[in-house]
Amino acid sequence: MSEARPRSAHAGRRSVFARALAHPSFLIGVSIAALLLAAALLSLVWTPYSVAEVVVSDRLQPPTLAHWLGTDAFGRDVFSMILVGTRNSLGVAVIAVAIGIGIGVPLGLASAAEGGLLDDVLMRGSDLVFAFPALVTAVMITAIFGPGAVNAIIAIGIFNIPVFARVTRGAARGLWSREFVLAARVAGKTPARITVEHILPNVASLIVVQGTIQFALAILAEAGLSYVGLGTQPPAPSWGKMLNDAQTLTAIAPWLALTPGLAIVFAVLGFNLLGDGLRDVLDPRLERRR
Amino acid sequence: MALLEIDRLSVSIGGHPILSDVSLSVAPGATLGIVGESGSGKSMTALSVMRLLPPGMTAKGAIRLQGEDLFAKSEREMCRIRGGSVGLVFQEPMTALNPVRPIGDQIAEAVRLHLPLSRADTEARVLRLLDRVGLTRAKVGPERYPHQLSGGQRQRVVIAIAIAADPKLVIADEATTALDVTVQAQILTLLREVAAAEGAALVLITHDLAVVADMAERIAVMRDGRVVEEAPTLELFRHPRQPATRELIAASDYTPERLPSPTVDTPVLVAADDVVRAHRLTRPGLFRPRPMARVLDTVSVEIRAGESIGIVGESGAGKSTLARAVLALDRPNEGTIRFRGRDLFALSAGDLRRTRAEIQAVFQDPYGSFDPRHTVARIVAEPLHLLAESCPSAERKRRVEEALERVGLPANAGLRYPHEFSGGQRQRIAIARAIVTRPALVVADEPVSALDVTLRGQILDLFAELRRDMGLALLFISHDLAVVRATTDRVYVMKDGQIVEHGETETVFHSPRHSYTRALIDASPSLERALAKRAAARE
Amino acid sequence: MLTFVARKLGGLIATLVVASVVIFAVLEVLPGDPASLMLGVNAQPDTIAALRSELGLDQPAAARYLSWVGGFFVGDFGISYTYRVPVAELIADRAMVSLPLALMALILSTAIALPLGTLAAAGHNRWPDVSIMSFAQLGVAVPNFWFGILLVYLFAVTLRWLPAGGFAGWDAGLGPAFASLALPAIALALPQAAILARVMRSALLDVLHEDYIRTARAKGLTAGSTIWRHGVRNALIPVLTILGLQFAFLIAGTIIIENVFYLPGLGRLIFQAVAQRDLIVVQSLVVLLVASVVTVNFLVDLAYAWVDPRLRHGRR
Repeated sequence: MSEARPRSAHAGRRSVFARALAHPSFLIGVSIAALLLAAALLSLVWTPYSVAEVVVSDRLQPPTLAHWLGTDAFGRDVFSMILVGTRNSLGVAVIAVAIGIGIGVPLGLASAAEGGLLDDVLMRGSDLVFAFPALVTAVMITAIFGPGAVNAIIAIGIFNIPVFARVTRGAARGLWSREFVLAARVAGKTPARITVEHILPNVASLIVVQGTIQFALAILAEAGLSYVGLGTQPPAPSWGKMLNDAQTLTAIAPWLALTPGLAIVFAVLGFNLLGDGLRDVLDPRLERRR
Repeated sequence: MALLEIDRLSVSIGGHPILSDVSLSVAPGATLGIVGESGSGKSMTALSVMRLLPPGMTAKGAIRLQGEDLFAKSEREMCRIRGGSVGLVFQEPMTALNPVRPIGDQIAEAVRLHLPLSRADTEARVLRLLDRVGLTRAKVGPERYPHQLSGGQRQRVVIAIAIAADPKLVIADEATTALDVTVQAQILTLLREVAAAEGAALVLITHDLAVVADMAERIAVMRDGRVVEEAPTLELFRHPRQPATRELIAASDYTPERLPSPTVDTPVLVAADDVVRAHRLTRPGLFRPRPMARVLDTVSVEIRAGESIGIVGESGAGKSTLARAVLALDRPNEGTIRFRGRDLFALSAGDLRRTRAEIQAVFQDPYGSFDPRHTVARIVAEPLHLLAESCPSAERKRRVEEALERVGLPANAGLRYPHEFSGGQRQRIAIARAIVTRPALVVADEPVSALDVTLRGQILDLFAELRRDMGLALLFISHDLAVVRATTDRVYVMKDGQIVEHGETETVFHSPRHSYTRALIDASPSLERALAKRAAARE
Repeated sequence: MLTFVARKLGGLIATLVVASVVIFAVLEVLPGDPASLMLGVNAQPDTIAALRSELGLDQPAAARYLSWVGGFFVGDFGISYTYRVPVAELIADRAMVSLPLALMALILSTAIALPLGTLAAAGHNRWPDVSIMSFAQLGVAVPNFWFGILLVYLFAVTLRWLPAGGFAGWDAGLGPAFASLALPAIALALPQAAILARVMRSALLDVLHEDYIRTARAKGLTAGSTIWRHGVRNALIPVLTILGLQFAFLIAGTIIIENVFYLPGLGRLIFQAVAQRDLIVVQSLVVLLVASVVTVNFLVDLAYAWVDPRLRHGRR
């Protein structure tokens, strides 16, 4: 009965900060994310060498003091390329996730509030999008417009829309059947106003968590698309493209295949940890189960 | 020798005590009732006997079953005792069974674990067990799945599992709390019969004094993890020694102050006429039309100003649907609902707002009815925007504080969040929100069902006080006959979407005309009746 | 049950119809005439016109769509513009590589993930859980194509146990064929297994909080057999959802992995077709991939009904 229930979902609302500081995977995730962001910003103003600089005499050097991570087949500095690649990966992921949130969340909110036909159309529509793996979408876009980074953004972004729409819709529908929403309706509030005042704030943390996870997936997808040549185009450096170049050289320059892959793992791991951490920190109800 | 002996049992989690020095004993074949409010440690005592305490809890003391210390047993030996010597029945029949396995399979599992029977004998035993708990092969066979059964039928299956291996002790932990009263009466009778037939002792854990008074020979009262009093049933009720016991008994047949009923010439506030509310079911077959189910079937209700109206009925009777229609949340498919003579669903937007300010609501769940992210002040102020005159912030603040004080909360409660309040206080916050616009009618849907008895009385008092001071009319919806009888002037009895009987509350309860009303009253646990029966049996 | 299957089947067909229209329409807006592309720049206008009518390109879009879709039912996918062979033949040939690869990866990842996820949930917060989940956390982050490159470097370049790439062909016998698919299948399966293991673990942990688990324990089942008899099957319900969704990722993964290992599968075909503007091949391949994803999800729905009797009895 009443008192036996756990005190509240928000028993520690004001100690979110304290909980965050005590959460190892959240801390690791935040640190990695911050490091990547710093690297991306740094690459805007400075890299050890220019990534456009082709010095054939310096080609395929193993890691040295001058070139920390060695050089590629064109004599370009791998460390500089990794830095610029970070910017590229994060940039694509930010826009792709923003497309997903910007379109998917309003759709999910509206569908939960309206129900009926809109809801049916949304669910069928998302089934349709899920039937096209992002890679297949990218193939089709490439067939029409030719390859490019924008390609990757659109393909990943389209896939993200139903992901966010479904997550938002599911959580929002749960909230619509709660008594506090009923109370708001008794207070004469319109569905739009209830959505803004009650639903959105209560699904926000879920969207943030999902956003982090989709961000990690987007980095992975961008690397894959660039690897097969559908994403970022040379000479712009990207982690996936670097791996493609390195693949043929594994027998003579194995280190080239190592660093871009590690960079991808590092970034994806970081954002996944951040997502897991945020989930626990923002919603203590789930923490007990983990 | 006692069958079960709990000797100075203490349970704690991280140094925080859950149970302290609990000592109880149960004789073979006897029935012990354990009563107490939520958090008193009743369920933890039961789980301790099974050694199924949640992880992180540590137990001290001793529990002896037939003289053998359970705490000294290995996990493997405990598995033989669980379901073998001791059967356990839990509160939630809807979720207590595995949804993906047939019920016969789940009963057979309990048989196989403890009895060395052949496959054919096991099957025969499962059929006998189902028969014993009143589920005959023709009606509910072993091949059925839990979702095909009603709550009462599922609880029968759980009982069959508990008695599968002829246990010497059956522990029933709030086994009937989630069930409708008529089903509750059947399940209690079944428990009693089964225990008697198998010669098993019964430990009945409940918050409901009337239920234990009826069922148990001895009663232990628990509070804050301690046994405060243990005595034979009649003695406990006739001469309670401890204040905690007295408080519990006083609260359980509590009647708030009775107000004079409004006279016939009082204006009618709400008139619902032949209201029908139906929804489509899923198609029974691919090409068959979707049937309609009537949740409300030509329901007519009248509420006069200042009047307190009760709606009683079991789950699925359509009580809450009626409430939602009166609150103008769901439009009826047929019929009209008039407020002060005007059709609620034909009002202009502005008029609807003004009308909503006059009809407010209190819901059942004191935990779910507030947005956890809003302060109490913001929650209570929510309906204020319905008022025709725009409400300046100073006025808003004043009205919120006034409403909070009126429900017995400090004015500064508004600065805090709902999770900082207890269940009873939360229900006060919900009431403050309902009266902040000074409405003419409050629709209260099971407003005290989630509260402990001692809190229940306080909230009922508050409703009575508000009616007296504000001239409030009340539409009080509840499955609990005792509460409705104590608080309402007139009552409507609902069954399957229809009103089967209505009239003055006392008349209806005293001399019910409809057979369903009679069945409902007979099935409702009554402390008075139970004690009278027990006294008669002793003489 | 019949209603349930019929409703799901209806959804499947509707999705396929809409998807095929979308694909057709998208590739329709493409500039460039396939006939002139096929014949090259020096072709005579009347040869081009002849070819156009031979390919049916002179007909209106709706008619072409219908004949294209109609062809699916008789196994006629049209003639490849560049290879000049029936598309169906081309695809069947390449599918003999991609399909076994995807299946191997699916079986491998499920076989790894479900026991590990169960083990982790059973040892919740103890060392099996912590160590399995640390590996899973890492596995989720590893791109399969990079993992493939590392596998090639280790097992093919350094140890020389397995071929670095290429496909021996089924004619060469099962041994060499499987040997050439082993590394790609592992590269695909491990990252998928990591995701699936995490899902299995959390689904099982959720189930272990249910009341019927307590009932099972009160019956006298040990903690271990409770998980096995009452936990796993219920936990499979969310796991199946993810398994269905993962198939789409697996398809995408197959396409990429075929590039790492130079396998002549559908993935290679689709890239070649895009590069050569062989639209009819692209069109048919995309429809086929989409159809396979939708079909797998349909099978997942049927599996639901098998696992969960509540669906079988047509309750919402």
